[in-house]
Amino acid sequence: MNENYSLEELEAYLYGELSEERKSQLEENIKTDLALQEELAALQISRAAVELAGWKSVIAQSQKEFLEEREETLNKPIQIGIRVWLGRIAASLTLLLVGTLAVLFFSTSPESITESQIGYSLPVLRSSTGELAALEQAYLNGEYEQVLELAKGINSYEAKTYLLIGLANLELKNGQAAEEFLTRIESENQTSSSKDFADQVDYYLVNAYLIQGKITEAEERIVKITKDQNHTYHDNFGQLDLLKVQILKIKN
Amino acid sequence: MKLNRNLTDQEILEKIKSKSDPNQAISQLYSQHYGMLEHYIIQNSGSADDAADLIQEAMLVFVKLVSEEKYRGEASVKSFLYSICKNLWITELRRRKSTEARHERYEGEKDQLESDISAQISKNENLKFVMDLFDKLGEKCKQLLMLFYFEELPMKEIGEKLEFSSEQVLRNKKYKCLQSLTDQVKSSPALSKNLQKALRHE
Repeated sequence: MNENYSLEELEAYLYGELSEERKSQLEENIKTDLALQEELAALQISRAAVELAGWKSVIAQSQKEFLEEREETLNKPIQIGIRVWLGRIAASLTLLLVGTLAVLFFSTSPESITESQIGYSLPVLRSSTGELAALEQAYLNGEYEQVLELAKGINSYEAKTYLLIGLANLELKNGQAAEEFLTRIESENQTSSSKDFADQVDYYLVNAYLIQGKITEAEERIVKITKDQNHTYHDNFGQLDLLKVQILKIKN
Repeated sequence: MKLNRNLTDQEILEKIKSKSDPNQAISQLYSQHYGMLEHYIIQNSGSADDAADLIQEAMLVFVKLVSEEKYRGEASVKSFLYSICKNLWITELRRRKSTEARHERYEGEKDQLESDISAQISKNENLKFVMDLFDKLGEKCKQLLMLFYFEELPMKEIGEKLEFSSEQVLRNKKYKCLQSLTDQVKSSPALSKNLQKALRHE
């Protein structure tokens, strides 16, 4: 410490708080007193260092927080990965479901229900003779107009005849005529208490109804087929077909 | 580290000068400029750790220049911080025996603001030495001097915070602590030499 000036006085000088008289005296001494100069310089740098130490503490704290926060941000996708991924999967599935339903909605038509069904292949039609045999042959040859023409020359129809005429009309997209001949089999069966071509009638009537836009009737036949485990065509319809029927109802 | 809103460059400078909510100002400097400064260091043969050390150092130089009004927002805070970092990193590379050519080329490009930066970097070297001495003082002394010179709290408040029996006792303690620091400064041969050079304006 300087012998002539206390630290308090030197600090007051640096702050400009020393009396004028004492200040002039000190400034005069500074010019020649090297120790006093050093004392003042040491005081100045000490004060500056304390202040800078304060800033250093603020800066170090800010840097620590910044780097921790940055690290946390970088690790966030890993820490919340499961939730985020579950959310993303759910969103993707929802999007997929909505997309699928949209595609299904716009692509569903009466044909879309029956296009993947089995072809109109006749049950074994052996032992037929005469007019019926000619009808069968025309049907097998894909000559459906011919089938209808030949049918006009037949006086007595049996179940097979009705079926062939119904199927030929179905091929020619005459839904109403197909329905008429196929349902005649059902009527005949009820009268004779037989079950001739009963499953085929159900199956082909679905198409006949759909061609005519009779969605409810088509639905009833599909429900009947799918509910009956022993139905010949049980596996040919599923829930998707019933969903398509619902879509057709909305669209109509 | 949550900020209510982004401060403008000028608001940051004001907060540093007035020491009002300095944390907010420094935090914003970090969030806005750390990435850019770190990129510079890493692109110039430094590591992420080098960047962390150097940016802390750059912030110290920055606040000192702002406090002493040697920077008043002539250039943007971003480019000013970049200049400080560049200066500090070149100095550091020189220490690591980097090429003299690079340094000489850089010296030729200096303008006034960058000269101030260089001068402050040099001053900060001495200040850092004194800060180390300050760090070795007792905890009570450090707290007291920090509250007085950095936080600039009134004596009455410091006395209450540090539970001093009277303001006079506190005042005596403060001068004792300060005296202890200045004595260490004067007794440090390297520092004393630098101080004498500074007094002779060399």
